Amino acid sequence: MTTTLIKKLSEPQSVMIIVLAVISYLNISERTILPDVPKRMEIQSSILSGTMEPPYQYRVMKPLLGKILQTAILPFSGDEEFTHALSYQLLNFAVFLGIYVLLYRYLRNFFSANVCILGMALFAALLPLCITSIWEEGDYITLLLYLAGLSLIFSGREKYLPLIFLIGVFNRDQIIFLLMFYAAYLYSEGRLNDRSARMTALLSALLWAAGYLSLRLIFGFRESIYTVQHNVSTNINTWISAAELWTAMILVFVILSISAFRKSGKYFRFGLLILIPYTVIYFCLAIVTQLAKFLPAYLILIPMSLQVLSGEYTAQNNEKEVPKPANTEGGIP
Amino acid sequence: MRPGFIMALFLTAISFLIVDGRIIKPGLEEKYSLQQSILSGTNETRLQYGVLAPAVSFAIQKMAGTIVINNQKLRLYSFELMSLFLFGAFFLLLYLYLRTSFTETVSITGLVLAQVLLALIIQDVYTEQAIFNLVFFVMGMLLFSIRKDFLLPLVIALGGLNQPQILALLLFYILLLFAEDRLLNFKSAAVILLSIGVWLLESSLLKSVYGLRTESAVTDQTPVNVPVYIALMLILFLSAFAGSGKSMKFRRYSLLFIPLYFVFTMLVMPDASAADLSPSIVLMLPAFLSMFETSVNKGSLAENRSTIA
Repeated sequence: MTTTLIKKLSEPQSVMIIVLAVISYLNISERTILPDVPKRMEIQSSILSGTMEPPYQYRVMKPLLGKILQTAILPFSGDEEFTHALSYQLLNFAVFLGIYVLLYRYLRNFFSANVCILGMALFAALLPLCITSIWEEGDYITLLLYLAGLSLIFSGREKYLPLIFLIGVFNRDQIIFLLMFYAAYLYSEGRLNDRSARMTALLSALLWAAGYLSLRLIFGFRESIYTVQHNVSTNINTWISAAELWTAMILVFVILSISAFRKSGKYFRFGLLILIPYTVIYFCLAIVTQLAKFLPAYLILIPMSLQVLSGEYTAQNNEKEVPKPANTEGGIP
Repeated sequence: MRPGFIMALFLTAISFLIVDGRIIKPGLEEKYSLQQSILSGTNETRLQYGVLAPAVSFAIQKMAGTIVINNQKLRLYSFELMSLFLFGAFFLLLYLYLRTSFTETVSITGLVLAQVLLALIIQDVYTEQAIFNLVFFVMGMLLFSIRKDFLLPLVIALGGLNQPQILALLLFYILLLFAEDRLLNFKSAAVILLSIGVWLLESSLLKSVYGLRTESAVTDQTPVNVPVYIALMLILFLSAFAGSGKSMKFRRYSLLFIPLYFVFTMLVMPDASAADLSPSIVLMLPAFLSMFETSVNKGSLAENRSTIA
């Protein structure tokens, strides 16, 4: 068994997954966790005691996981600041490892192993510019949940999808948009009228709504200062830095995606189109320079761009072969 | 446009934004005073000998000074332009270098991986010197690959005006010659001797003009980042371990001699940062990428080399 594990870990994709997870983890540690640990501890205790301002108050998943880890580690370390930093570093490493494993699996549905590795590296390259605050790791958990959802969808285990929505709403409301990815998948499969798929979607929405309401019943319905008007005016006022960032981070992917559009499978064509309302919603509900929140969009943009970069287009094989077994070549850790 | 060029542009933009936000804008004053102290010969540290980057930024300031009136903006733009140019040159040259050995997809993967690593180790205001050095290293490796090694003394001459560690390039040239059984060749020997001569001449000229500087350059902005160093060691080890099996002779030798490169660099630049040691990325990258090579890919290598040459 040990030999099998070592063999698997020494495969190129496993090495790459580990290397990229370490690099991403270090980026987040250095620039998000370590710069102001006392402030982070304050934020965590505010959320857990129910005194934080919305929407942060309703994002309880990360502080809860962090608190659990801290409770386990504190008896051994004794230092609260060190324990806090270590807990979140461990949490983040696990999150990034999960992201890269699932991203690889997701991409393997469409591309050869080397192209998937390129896709993972592209994602890692985007991360440093996504870091904008000391309390943002929840966005990476959101991405992990999106990837977990897509993994369930593409592996034919979509009956478990509602669970992702139930868990995800305790982290960020935006997990609901995963339904659009599911719709894109159903469209590509010609199953939009499928009864069980509709039930799955309905149950997912219901569980999301139940989680959403229960959070507000527990912590109270509070008015957020981050209104649509506030976000839109901030986005307009900071348009120069936003344009700079979006030109570097998104424009290339958009151009490549558009040029791959006609040769793409139905899933990606539908996916690219749903990114238009997604971006509009993002513009109204978030600050556009905080690109970590936009990461789920890259689950469409990166594979579409990979088609142009690698010449492996999904139109020819995608319609018939999705879902394809993820581990047909090279093995997956 | 070839996908690799698009990616080189994209990675240039990303790297530029990272450096701009993390180093240039917050450390503008420090960068400018560093430039002035080096150009006026009053810098008390070993950085005094790295005249290339300050000279280039000063030249840009002079040229752009006719258009931009505000001094603060002028300085900012000069450092930004230089950084943009440096990253552009680095990614373009690295792409061309990798294309001499790998397929398009693997070469782009190498480019992206280099960017990811660079983003991690770029930490302080001396970034330009480190990136300049990296550009010269890649340029040298590209010249080896396309058999234009007679230009090596020129690269050493330019690189010597930036950081003395450029001489290490010669070590890898000798390794290549040894791997290809070309070491005892008149042309190669001439290139090696000329390169050493140029480097020695330049080095002694700089020292005689500015005097002996032995003080280390350490600023408040240089963080001691232990995890980064550990990660780098891990990456080095993993790449060596994973890639060396399938690599050609030169790549294997390069991996084996990376520790010697570290020793040499620490001898000539005792205050070298992780960014200063980044040429090791260029050295280990091909061996690392060898993991992704398949027999199908190898067919077009000779063609790539001749196209680029």
